[in-house]
Amino acid sequence: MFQLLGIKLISFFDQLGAITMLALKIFKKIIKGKIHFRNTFDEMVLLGIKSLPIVSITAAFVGMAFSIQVVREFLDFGAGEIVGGVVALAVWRELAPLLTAVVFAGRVGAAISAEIGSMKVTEQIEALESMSQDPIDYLIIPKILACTLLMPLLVGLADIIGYLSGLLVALGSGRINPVAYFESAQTMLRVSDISGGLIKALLFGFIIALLSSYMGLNTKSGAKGVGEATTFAVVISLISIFILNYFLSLVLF
Amino acid sequence: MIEIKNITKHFGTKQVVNNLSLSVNQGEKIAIIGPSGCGKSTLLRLIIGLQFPDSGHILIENQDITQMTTKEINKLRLKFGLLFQSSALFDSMNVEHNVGFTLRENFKFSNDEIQKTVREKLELVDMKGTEKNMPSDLSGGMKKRIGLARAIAANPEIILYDEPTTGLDPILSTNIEDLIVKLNKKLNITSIIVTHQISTILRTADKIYMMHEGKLLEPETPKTIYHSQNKYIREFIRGGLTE
Repeated sequence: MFQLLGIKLISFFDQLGAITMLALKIFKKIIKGKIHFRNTFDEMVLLGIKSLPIVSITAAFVGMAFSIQVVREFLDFGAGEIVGGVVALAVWRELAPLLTAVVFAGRVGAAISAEIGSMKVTEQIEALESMSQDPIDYLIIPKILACTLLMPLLVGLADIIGYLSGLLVALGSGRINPVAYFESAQTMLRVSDISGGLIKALLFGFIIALLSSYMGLNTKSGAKGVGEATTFAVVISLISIFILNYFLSLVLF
Repeated sequence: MIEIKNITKHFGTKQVVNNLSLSVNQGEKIAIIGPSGCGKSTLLRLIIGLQFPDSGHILIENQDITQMTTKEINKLRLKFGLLFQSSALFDSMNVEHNVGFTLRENFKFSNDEIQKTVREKLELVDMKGTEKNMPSDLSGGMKKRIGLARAIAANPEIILYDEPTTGLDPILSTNIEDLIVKLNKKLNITSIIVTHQISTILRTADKIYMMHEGKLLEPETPKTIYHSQNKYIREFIRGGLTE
């Protein structure tokens, strides 16, 4: 049992080391300006279009579900006038960044891992190399930049949709004043709450793209290998996001 | 000229290339045969720098690929074309973008120049009019032809063929073999063909090497290979004919 535990631990640190090395390589190349702008732009458009509907739907329903709970409980305590502020804080600080990252990992992270993995097993990565293109420059950096830059935009959108759908539910109760909803948010929400949520988004986007790319690049041969890499990419991205979110919440707010 | 000097390569504990040496002159067409897993494809990957030997040297026009930086290797690779066994077409790009890939990314050709060159190369492989097709719309034989058009797009000096006719029906196989011969005559390209197919060996190569236990046996020609003094070559060829 101890031997198995030891093997698992060594394998974990081995993978962690390899992911760190990949991240450092990517940073170094970005600093050196090795950015394929056309591919980065294409990736942003593609990933943006893929993610927009699911992010919007998720944000709307999460905002409404949260608002139902808050409105009911706060009205019982006679604190209906601060509902807007509480919804805004929850959405901007935690719900929008975290849940956008979750759906982004499921939708985009899985797509990245599957795409790179299938390119690996069908020799397309080697074909790129044989034609003098570094797969990190041509494939990975555009995806990492696209995800890192896109996530704050998506989270910004999710913030607004989540907050406004919360207002709809609050108004539906018939006992919340819309002016009070906005005013309480204005009073309670600080700039650091908004910027903190966006910093989280930036890091989540980077982590999802990095882990998914790493899993794709390390896909073992065959369709089974692509499936396993994709599943593992999503699982490891989600776990990393939840852990990172806790520490970021401690530091940022 | 390609000169391989005493290279060895291991994967884990398995030695796939064992103190192998080989010389290929400009414009020469050589075939490398051998059973599956004997290291033929690995040898191609070593020549183009996709993998590196554990020891030994690989000189491409007197430049040692084992001593080069990634940047230098990328520059050297522009002299090569590589046809993959699976064709390895980029499935997110149409035929035009696949064939014109290296022209766009490495040579910064204009769109008009790329389109013109792609048309020419597609005509050469009898695939004219397929520019807008996606790889998923193509059959195995068509993919091989497009892969070949991509490999010759930038007029390389050396083409490496990894199992160019494996898995194709006899007619398609003959078509690809004709293409290899046609390209070699027309463009005076150095060709290294890794294959199992007896017809491909006989129709496309001047010199035939068999890979056995990580080494190359004495070369044969299409005329002498049937009467080879080496029992491994004889067995391989006979096995090939009875398959």
